[in-house]
Amino acid sequence: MIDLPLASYWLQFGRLVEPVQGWFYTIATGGELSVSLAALVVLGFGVGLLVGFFGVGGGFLMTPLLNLVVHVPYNVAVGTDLTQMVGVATTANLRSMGVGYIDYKLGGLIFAGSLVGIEGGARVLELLKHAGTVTVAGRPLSLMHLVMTVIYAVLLLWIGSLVRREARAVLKGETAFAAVGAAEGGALMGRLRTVNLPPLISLPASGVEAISLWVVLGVGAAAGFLTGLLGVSGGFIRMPALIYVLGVPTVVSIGTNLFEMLVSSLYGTLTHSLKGNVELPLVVILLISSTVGTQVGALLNKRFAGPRLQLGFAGLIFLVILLMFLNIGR
Amino acid sequence: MAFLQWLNVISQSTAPGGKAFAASWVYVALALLLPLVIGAAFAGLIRVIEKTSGIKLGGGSA
Repeated sequence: MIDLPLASYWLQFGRLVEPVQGWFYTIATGGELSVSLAALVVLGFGVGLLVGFFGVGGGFLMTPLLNLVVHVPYNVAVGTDLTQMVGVATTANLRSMGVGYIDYKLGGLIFAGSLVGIEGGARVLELLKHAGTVTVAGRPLSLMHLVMTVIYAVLLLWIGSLVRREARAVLKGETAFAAVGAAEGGALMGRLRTVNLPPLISLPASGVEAISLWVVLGVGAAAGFLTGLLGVSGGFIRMPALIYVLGVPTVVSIGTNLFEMLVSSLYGTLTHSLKGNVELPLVVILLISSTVGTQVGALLNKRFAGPRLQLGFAGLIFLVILLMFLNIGR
Repeated sequence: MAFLQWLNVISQSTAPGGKAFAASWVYVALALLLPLVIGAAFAGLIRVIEKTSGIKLGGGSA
């Protein structure tokens, strides 16, 4: 018989501010890093809440917050987040069965590109993991921590700006799409659409007559690289690319993107687990708490959603960036 | 708690410096299967809650 892992813990939840021995889950077998279960549950639930409420992906928040709040090294944060994403994608795929439509030919080709990208991203992270330290202002800093903090800061800045712009557009009475869609990558996508480097393929299920195979593989590789390096799903690259570059209908894009999220996170989990970057107890705790948070967030969204709260969310993202930089020299 | 501790032992994510990490098959298999099982269980649970309460819940995409 297996004891329920959190049963005794919940009885002590009220003592959140006063952690005692036995509360702490030790992340490493050698005891190098202890992580508060309370902090993990609150973090998972909180990120899930934001995901459900604002309808954004959780990976870009979960990984840096795992590092910022509970000091999980970036390589473990990325591997662990990708693994819990398998569970999230499983739920999402099962939930959307019969609603979305998946173009398996397109999905398979994008996944082929993703394999290269994910492996490349994971190997770059592996290089950073073993890169040692650099001295900044007389203090030794982990190169991985430094580089990942900068990359995440750029990513968060971009996403925060998009959220802010969208909210301000809605407040002014414009459509969010007009404010964001026109500004972000429109020229690049237009150029990609005209690439006709052979071989050209057709995607009958998506109604695409001819598209360069390299564009499809490139979309997969770009999204996959971010998945392998940062532990994000890459949907923020894949979805616009599917719709605006490949010309895939939105309903097929949604289904195919969810399918990609599942197979990409499965491969990401495989490669990161082989590199020792997955912490299984964290996966269980974060997956359960974030899924509950997502559902609560989705319910709250129906009552309280609005552009002012969205502006607050953008502010929260900018605050996370600030804290990441303040935390860099710890 | 014992289950989490067992998962922790097989995770060995912080192998001592200088030693090459060697993943055990149980660890890799659990990394792939555990979230699949939990995710599928959640999908079923959400469906049951929706049917019994009449509330439309979220898609589970994070």
